[in-house]
Amino acid sequence: MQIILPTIILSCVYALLGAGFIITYKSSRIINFAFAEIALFFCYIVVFLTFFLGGKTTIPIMIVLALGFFFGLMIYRFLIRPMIGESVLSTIILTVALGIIINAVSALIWKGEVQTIKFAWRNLYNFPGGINISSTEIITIIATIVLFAALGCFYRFSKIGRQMRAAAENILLSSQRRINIYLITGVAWGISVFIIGGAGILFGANYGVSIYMANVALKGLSVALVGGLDSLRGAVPAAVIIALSEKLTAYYINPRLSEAIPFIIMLIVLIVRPWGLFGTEEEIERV
Amino acid sequence: MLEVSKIEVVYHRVSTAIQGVSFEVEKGMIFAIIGSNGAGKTTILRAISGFLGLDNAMITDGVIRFNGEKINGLLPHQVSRKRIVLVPERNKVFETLSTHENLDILGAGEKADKGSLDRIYDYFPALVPRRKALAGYLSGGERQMLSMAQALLCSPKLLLIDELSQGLAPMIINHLIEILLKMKKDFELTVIIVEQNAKVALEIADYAVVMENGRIVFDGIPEKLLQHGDVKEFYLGKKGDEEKSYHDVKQYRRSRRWWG
Amino acid sequence: MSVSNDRRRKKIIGPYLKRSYAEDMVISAFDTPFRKKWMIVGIICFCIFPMVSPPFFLHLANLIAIACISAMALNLVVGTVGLLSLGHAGFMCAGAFTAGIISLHSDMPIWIGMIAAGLVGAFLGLIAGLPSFRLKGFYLGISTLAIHFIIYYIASEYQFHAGFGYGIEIEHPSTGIVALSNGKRWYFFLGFFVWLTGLFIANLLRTRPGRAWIAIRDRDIAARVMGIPVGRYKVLGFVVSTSITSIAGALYAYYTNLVTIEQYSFWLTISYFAMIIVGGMGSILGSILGAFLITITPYLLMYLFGHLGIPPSIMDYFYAIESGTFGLIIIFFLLIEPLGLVEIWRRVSTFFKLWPFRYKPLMITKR
Repeated sequence: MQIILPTIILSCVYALLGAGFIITYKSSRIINFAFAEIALFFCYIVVFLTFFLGGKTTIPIMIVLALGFFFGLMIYRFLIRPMIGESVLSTIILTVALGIIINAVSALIWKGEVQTIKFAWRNLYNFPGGINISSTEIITIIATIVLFAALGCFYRFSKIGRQMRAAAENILLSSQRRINIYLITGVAWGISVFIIGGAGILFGANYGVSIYMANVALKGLSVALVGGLDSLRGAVPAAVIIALSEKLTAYYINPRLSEAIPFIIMLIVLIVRPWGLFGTEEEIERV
Repeated sequence: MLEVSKIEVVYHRVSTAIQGVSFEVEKGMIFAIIGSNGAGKTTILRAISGFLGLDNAMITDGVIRFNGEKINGLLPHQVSRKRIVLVPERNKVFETLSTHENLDILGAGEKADKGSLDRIYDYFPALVPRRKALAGYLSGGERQMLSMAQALLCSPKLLLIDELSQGLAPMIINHLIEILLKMKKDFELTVIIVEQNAKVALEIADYAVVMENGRIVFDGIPEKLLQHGDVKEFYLGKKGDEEKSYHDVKQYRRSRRWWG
Repeated sequence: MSVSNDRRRKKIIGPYLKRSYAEDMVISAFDTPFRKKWMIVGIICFCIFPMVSPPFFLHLANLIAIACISAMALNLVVGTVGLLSLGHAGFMCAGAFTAGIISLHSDMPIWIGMIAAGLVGAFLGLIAGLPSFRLKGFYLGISTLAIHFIIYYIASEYQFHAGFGYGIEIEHPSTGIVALSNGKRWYFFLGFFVWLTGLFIANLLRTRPGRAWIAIRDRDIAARVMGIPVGRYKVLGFVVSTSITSIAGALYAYYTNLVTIEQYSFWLTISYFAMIIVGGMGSILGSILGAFLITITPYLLMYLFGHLGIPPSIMDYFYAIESGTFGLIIIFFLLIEPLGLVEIWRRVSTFFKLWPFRYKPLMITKR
């Protein structure tokens, strides 16, 4: 009983972290390895802005999210766009290098201090049966649901979402079909960094801001892989499975093993069904 | 309508692909470009419709004018906005999207709306039962139809078709040609068609051009081409009035190429 | 006209005119007069360098040599076969630990350590290559990453449980004839191995496995249709690459006289990937150029910082600044020339080959 609520919260955070990877993959077939560093960086900015402006974290969070969108546009404009058509591996290394740089900047400015993000609405709600939910946790759950619903509908039903999926698959053909690839892919990156920021902030609110985030971001990658890199829908069940396994292992078996569980599950899924539980089967290949 | 003047295209900044290519396409005509592999036919279509950075290709000389306006060096989506649309040779559809999604892809504010989507299905009834299928699982003929339908939805004035007949059975080719002619009439299109299958191309063309090794070597109305010895030899497989085997044609061609 | 004129013409044109497939496939550095000249100059420079250079640069050169060998191996599996292998650091670690363990328990010459490392590497490569029957692309990368973590875990368990807090220490190894006790001897020893590895890989590329690998990289379904046993060649690619990598790891262990798990983290794999991508994938010259650049960078930075007289307080953050600059350099090179340094080299040489033309002209057709 004790573990239900923490598992739910952990699933939400994992799902959002996974969504960050999935959105980047859906928009440009790239895995953004600067994910963890960007999330950490934004969390530090929230803390810094809160301190600087005084007052609650609400405004800094909104500023940082907007900044995230803009930052995504910039990453696209200066790093990804010049690499259109180059091998995916080169672009991935580019994101790794970007992560290294952002990491260095974070280390220089904030020296790896541990911080927390406290939301403006702080309250603890007590329910019968000994269940306590804090306001932070409520916000986390609601934010996850809202974000997933919005993104899912966006990609499935909106024209721009379709255009993004088309541009990710075949950028030349999209351009020949009147889709403004620069605009579409730029916005896609903006959205993806926005999600990364959001995921990071929710993580920071629940578990604290520290270098430990890098580890957890990798687990987000395993969530994305288990659910299917191109399936937003898959992230939710994958996150639940992984979070549940992790909590159960920690509780009943061995806390140290629980750290490795996400990767073990990921390996198993990769062997059995490489494109994830809900991903599009990547066997559409013609000679 | 379209005026191509001394175009030179270079790949990877090193190899010249086509050189000194000039021709003019008038409104309402079907213009055919025939020639063998590697002659540069696809290159000239791509040059008209625009290169993206990833192609490693540049137009290094010459001018392309569409209705008087220069369109060299524009990006593909800019060229598409000018109503010049290409049906490519390879990678013609979005394979991870369904057929219906492939068609429903143009942005709002352009002429594509629900009505025109339904009308497109009238032209390509074979696509109707495959609406929900992923485009990657369509057969060759269905893909070609989907690609043409997509191109049509961009409201083109000039349609560029690359290798319509590639990999398709003759019956399907005839079917597609019928649809193409119907489209042309209904939408007042001008068509540039690139074909390796010279017979098919010369049947429907108003004017044709033969490309060889990156240059235009012969042009004229189809009747003239059909009577020219070399064209008959190389592309139609006839010498005098008898059919020749491809092997003989190739040998003759090789000798003609080097010694004039 | 005269016989001697003919002979002279043949001598000048001869090397450039290949008359058979066999002639075309010869790997030779001394075929044309231009190459002969510059190869001799190069060899002289190579031999003179250790005599005149300060010991620190000699040390750098040796490090670069080891990096070259390892980078060439990685480039073989990633650039030529097209498989994503993220376990590189793990394989080097395995080779290093093998060498360490052998030299602990016996006093064998370096050959034994290298051969053992190669065998261990080959075995691990076999295991790493097996998933490639089923997985492709990124997913294969993840499975090799798992192998990296497994090797890392085993090695670190050994290091700490066998009581080597700081790592295993190795004495100067001997080749059986001469002890490799100073930088100069290592220089020639390693230089020989760089040459040998380059020759080996260049030769592989012109034989059946090499052609099969290139076919697999370009279009593996078509390769399979043509009758190439794709799975087997993929595993072969892994095995060759990882055994060379392990040998490089062993060499590193022998050279630095220290084997410790900290040197073989995932960061090492990232820096090797940087080497082959910045250098140019699928190309031997690219691996060498990339290895050179990436190995030099941290030392260059240190030198710059020392030279600019940065106050010591900033030196605390040296690691952050160094890694940040490292990232910037990678991004810089990737944006300037995504195909790597070797592409810059090719462009320059093409410029000179084509001059005074700018582009390769079309063939003349007479009609």
